[in-house]
Amino acid sequence: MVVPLEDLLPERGLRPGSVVSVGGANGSTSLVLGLMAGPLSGGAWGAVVGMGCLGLEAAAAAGVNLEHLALVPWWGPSWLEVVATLLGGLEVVALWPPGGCREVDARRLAARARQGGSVLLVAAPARAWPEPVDIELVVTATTWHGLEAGHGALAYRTLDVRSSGRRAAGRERRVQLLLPAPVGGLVAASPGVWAEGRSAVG
Amino acid sequence: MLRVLVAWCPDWPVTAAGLAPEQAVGVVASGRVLACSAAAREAGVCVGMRRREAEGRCPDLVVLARDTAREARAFEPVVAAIATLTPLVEVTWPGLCALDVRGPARYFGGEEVLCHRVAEVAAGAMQAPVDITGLAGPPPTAAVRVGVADGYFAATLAARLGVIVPVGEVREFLSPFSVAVLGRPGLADILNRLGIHTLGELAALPASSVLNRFGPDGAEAHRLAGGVAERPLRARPSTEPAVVCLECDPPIERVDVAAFSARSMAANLVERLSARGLACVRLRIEAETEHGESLARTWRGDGALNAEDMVTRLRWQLDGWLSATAGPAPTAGITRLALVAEQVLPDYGRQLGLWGERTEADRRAARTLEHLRGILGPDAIFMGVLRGGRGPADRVELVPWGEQALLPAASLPWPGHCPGPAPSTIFSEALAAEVVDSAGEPVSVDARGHLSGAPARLVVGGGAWVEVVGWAGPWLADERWWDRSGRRRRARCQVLGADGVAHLVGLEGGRWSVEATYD
Repeated sequence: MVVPLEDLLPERGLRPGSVVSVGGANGSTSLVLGLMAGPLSGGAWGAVVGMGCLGLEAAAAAGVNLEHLALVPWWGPSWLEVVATLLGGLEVVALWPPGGCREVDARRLAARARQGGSVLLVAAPARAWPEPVDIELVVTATTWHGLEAGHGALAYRTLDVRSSGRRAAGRERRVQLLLPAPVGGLVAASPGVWAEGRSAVG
Repeated sequence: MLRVLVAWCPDWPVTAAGLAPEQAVGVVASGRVLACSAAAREAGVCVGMRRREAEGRCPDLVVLARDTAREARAFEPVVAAIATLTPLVEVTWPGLCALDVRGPARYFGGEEVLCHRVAEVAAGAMQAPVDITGLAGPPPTAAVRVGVADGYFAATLAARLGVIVPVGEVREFLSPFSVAVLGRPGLADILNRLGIHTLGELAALPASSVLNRFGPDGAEAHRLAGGVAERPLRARPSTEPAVVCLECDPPIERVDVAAFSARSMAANLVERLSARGLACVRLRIEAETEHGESLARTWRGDGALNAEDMVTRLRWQLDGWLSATAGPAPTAGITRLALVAEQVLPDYGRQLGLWGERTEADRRAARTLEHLRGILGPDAIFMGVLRGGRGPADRVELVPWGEQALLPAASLPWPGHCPGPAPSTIFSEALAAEVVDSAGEPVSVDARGHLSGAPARLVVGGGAWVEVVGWAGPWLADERWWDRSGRRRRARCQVLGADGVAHLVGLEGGRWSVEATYD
């Protein structure tokens, strides 16, 4: 059953001061963008650190306000300071962590997010992050729709996401999302998903 | 009553460009003529005209882009020359400076003599012919125009006409001017519609009614129209001088580094003033070098100077100093920088609008990013702007944070652009790939844009072979065919592997590559 993106999170949104990891081989970038879209379309500011290959058109299509999104494409030696500073002033920071992030660094960033009331999205599996995270999201399966052998075009995708974590997020849940959601009349052939897709967009 | 002398160099952006005076020159900013030379004006070009129209009227027009740094640099010698007469020279903007008349006029023997002296030294610094007359009005080709009146605002208008307004007659002098000279287009528009066309008519209104109807800004305009001296040129003695100093160790050798350090100083100064409800309208910038040379210059803003304005002026001033057009260049690095708020006014602030105004979150984010830019340098933080284009990488431009995008965002159709959702990962350098059909032959695209066979298997960047379960395309893009070196012919396909990963693959010059992944 397909649900809107908000249903993925126990509090129907990113809780200020929390650390969320997004993992999974395929589809995690879209999921990060989808998570950022809510706050950024509502006037909050966000930053993406360490991801030079981000498709900004996809971000805009997901609902991210590009005028409120700062990009720091490369880590650099002072990446820790950069992320800590960003967490102090921007509401959402998505970090593609460099290898060899130490536990003390992770703890410092988590403390900084708590203090500044911002959200740290770690675009890596939770086991690659040395600290326990508040919410762990893992994309377990993806299915593209609309593309056949020689005809059609990519239209939308269903993502199976497993969510677990601490406190309110402790109960493991598995949901199915549409990311990117269908637009236009491309998927009129399967009306059931279309109706669900509408709700995911709205 | 404060007497102010204003020296104004008409068409300064043109003069600063340093071309021959008989040449038709136009300086253009955002597509419109900002200033033009006398020859261009004779050919029918006028200020505010569209660039294309100006070129149509005057085919041999030399069109230059505006360069404020060049204007400031070129003005530096003029200010230095006038400063030999009196040290208290204020630069309002490159091309316009003001000084207090009282002392110098007594010293030189009258305002008229002083006007001539100022015009002479300024024209000398510009190597322009001296054809200035203080009273009869200058010829239209004069390089410097000088005017004296009670108050700064009246003096700028007097400088345009090249006249000395006698003491106490400022109100009569101002009254025939149009309300447009107030420099408040919105207010002027409303006043015109109310039937108030001249400053005299505006000044005749009761001050309390104007304040009531138009707020503090309107009241200020009313005071200007009435010839009431608006802001004194001399700094108001403040109990706590607003000064920010920076001792530079090691000494700063480059202007951009100095401007960089000045950013936090300026922010600090503005913050300190705003904590007292004040805004700086006149700023003195001081710099000292290791060898004890020093430079100080006063700058006045059009309104309240914010931190960015202060840094810009510091940059201009150091540019001028280092280019040594106004005297000896510094022989060593800068060891001390100081920003002094010489004149402050109460900051009335602005009423927040319903839409489109900056919120506290915006200001906090801007401060954070400003701070980060200080740590990382100007080319580390970017904003994305969507563009038109066929390939996914062409459709986005990264603009360094705090700068303007080069082109406005375009939303035109791009034939040959792949349909469907945009890929979320776009490789800055495409990954090499191989696409083969069911017979194991590499897939190619013929001249008619057909694939030689259905893609059956795909390998990305030396990984494992993946079965292709869905594909579409090719979408052909023959770009820049008119440009021999920049021409690109590309065929793009969407390919979905059995592992559930969809790629955008492109064929160019017989080689497949993965441009983007729908991650």
